[in-house]
Amino acid sequence: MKHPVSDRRLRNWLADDPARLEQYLEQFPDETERIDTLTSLSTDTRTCIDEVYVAPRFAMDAIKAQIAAQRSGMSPTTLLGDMVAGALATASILFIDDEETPR
Amino acid sequence: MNLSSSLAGAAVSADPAVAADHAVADISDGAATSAVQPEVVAVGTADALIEDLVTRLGPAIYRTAFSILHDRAAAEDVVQETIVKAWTNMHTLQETAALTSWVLRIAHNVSISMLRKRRALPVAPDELPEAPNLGPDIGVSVEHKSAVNDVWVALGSLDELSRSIVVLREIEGLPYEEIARIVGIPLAAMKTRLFRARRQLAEELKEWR
Repeated sequence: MKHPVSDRRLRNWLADDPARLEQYLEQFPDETERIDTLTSLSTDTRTCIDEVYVAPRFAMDAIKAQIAAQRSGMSPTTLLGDMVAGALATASILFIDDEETPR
Repeated sequence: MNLSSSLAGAAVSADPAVAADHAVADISDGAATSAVQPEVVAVGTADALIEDLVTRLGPAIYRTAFSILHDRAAAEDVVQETIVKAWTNMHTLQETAALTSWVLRIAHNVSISMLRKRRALPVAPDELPEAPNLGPDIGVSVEHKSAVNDVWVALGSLDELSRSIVVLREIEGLPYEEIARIVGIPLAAMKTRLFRARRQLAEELKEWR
């Protein structure tokens, strides 16, 4: 196989002949950097990809709680029940406080 | 707490070169799920270590899973399952330096397995992937939201494996060799997929030069 090939040929392989490109990369791994540069995404696109797949912070907290519950033998239903009970307790306190506040 | 030092004490001495791969292969086969925890870790400490694992690696696991499944709820399930599997099999990990790669390979396998199960089931229209929710509009321009949406659509045009390779390279910044190990394909094949995926993304986004 000829080495190095032109950028144009690499672009053609990228579009239409992945097997050829793979073979070329296998034979000439040093060419990786050139193809990497040739296909690099813009900073804007990379930023958008990052935003698309960002992990919500609250999700990690929920996962920690679920694993802890799982390890302690508590079922998810029990955990949900506890969470709802906690929310109701908080709401009732707020409601009572609101009712009892002198106007 | 220093996770690496704690885990270093938990590792057993076998062949370090293949141990992580075997562990993950065992996990993907559903074979090795020993509930025996590293003996050096006390029960209370175990909870702290698991929390530490979620804090450090949870976001990367989530991104890997989300890129494959394009479903936030399923990605959260993968994080949970991956952490539990990683913890359960932590005693098979030989090199703590390889922790990230090892855990992401588990996440990749769990995601692919979930994807296969989902494909076997009919999908209701309301379960189809939606565009990402960017949250409140504060500080986010309409143009930016539109750009993120365009990228989401462009990513949707890629196959799942290519999407995960793009995320592992562009977002996680992992070396090629590590990515090839995580997704379980030969190095040159992985690079070809990455470069073609980038080309396709750029073309979809009218960036292609």
